[in-house]
Amino acid sequence: MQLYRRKRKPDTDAFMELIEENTQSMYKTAWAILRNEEDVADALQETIVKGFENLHTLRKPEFFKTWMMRILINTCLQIRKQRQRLLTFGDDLPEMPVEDSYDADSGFKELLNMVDEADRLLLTLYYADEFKLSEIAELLDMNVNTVKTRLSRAREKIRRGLYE
Amino acid sequence: MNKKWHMDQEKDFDEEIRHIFQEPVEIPEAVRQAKRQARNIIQNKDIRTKRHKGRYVMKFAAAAATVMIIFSGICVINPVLAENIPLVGHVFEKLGRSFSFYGDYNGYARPLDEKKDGGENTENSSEITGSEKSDTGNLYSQTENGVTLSLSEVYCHEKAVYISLVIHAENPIPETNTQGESTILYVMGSDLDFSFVDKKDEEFLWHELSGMLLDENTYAGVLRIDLPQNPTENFKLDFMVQKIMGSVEGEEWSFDGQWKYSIDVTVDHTNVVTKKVNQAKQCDIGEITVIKSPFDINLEYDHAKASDYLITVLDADGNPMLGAVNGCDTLDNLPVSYHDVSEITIYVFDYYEYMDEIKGYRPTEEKGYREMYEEKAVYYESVSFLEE
Repeated sequence: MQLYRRKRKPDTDAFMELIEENTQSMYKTAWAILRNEEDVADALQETIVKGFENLHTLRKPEFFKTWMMRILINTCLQIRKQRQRLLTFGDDLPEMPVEDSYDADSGFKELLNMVDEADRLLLTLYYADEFKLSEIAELLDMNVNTVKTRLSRAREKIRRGLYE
Repeated sequence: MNKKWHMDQEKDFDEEIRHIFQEPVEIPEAVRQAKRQARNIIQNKDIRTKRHKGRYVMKFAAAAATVMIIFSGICVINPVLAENIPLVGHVFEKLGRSFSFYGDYNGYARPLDEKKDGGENTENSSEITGSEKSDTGNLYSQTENGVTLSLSEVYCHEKAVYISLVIHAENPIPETNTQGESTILYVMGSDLDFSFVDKKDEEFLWHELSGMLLDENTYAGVLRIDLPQNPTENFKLDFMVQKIMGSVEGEEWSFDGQWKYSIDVTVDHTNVVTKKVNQAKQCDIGEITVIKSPFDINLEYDHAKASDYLITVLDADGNPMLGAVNGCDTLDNLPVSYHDVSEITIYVFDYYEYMDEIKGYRPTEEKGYREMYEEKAVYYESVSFLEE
């Protein structure tokens, strides 16, 4: 997909088409961090604008999703930071309130509820976004073993949540 | 064998989780709207972004120039109500509860009367559209592409300006969302140019209108704009509406044009009372200023210090004063509407405790809002307006 028109002017339609394709992933990822519809909406909007403004930093279109996801995660974390509750990527993230309109019917939200705050993003990146362990490690500034350990821990919690 | 069985089972379980995570979810309207706004921001050449009440607002680049037909006369007559009830000058009266900040604006809202306010259309309007003025060119009523936008009355206190208006379209106005008793439209456009603000470009026109459809072609509503800083006693507000937009079930429609206005505004201090809430030591927000007008209660405080807190208000009867359903999107501008505000109580909660335990609380006979709030608040204080 051509993200630039002639004279290197970013192509809004092509860009938004990619956003459209990745909306489910972006929404789930933002939800895993913020768990509040309004904040998620703010995060997505900010991410889209930031992404478009910084499109020149995307070297290859095939890396779009990873590149955009990095912007999204940073934006979400900044939003959390604004609430002065965020520590760092590697730290355990404190609990956030789940908004009133929490949709219990949505399976992924239900699963996220079963695991620790710190593992929600990781689970989403792995299962919803299908990033490789190494990509997740890079995105979250963790080593791969930590990602594995946390994934395993989260999976166990889900198993207990579902079957016990 | 056992090991293989275990691995297969693990694989199945993994797939089960993957399946659940990958199942498409319904994207909420707020998120879809945020995407649309983002698209609008990046689509326009003159892009600027800024945080505004927790959400980006946009500046629209100039819309395609269209021929402007200056609307003649100072009244828009609703074809159905007809027979002669002039809407312009009486919009606040008409709206009733369809406007969140409803109340009796008689004596407060000044009709925008072209004859008194200058008589001639502004030169700028003509310059922008390149159109000809009619003999009775109107400062406050302009037609673009078959849509007439008439400003009706203006009321302003120290914190906000309220402009009532009527939109009359040649073709039926498409369906749009309602909230409570309000029918919601949006207006978007240029900078809001307040003459008392030195540094321009502080605010954009990107506001919700709350009001009602009077018939299929006519909408009456109010544009409520928070002032960016304390205003001078008299000031001029210039703005241009470039888009009137509605939305229903995620589908948007719009009327585009260039409706440009310049309004002389006088700040009305009548029955506007300011009180300070002295913070107790256990709460580090600092001072909260309460500005009460006949139609709204405005809270001012240091938002950076208050980022971990949520401030809310109960009226004299112990009922929560909620942010406007529409008209503004902040918890700090509360419609007086039906509330008894002879005395209000300001409650400061830990943000997370509020979201987890208090938001959505339904009072019981044993424990009303006041009891619940007093039990949970990190600080509260009553403010009396009885003397005023």
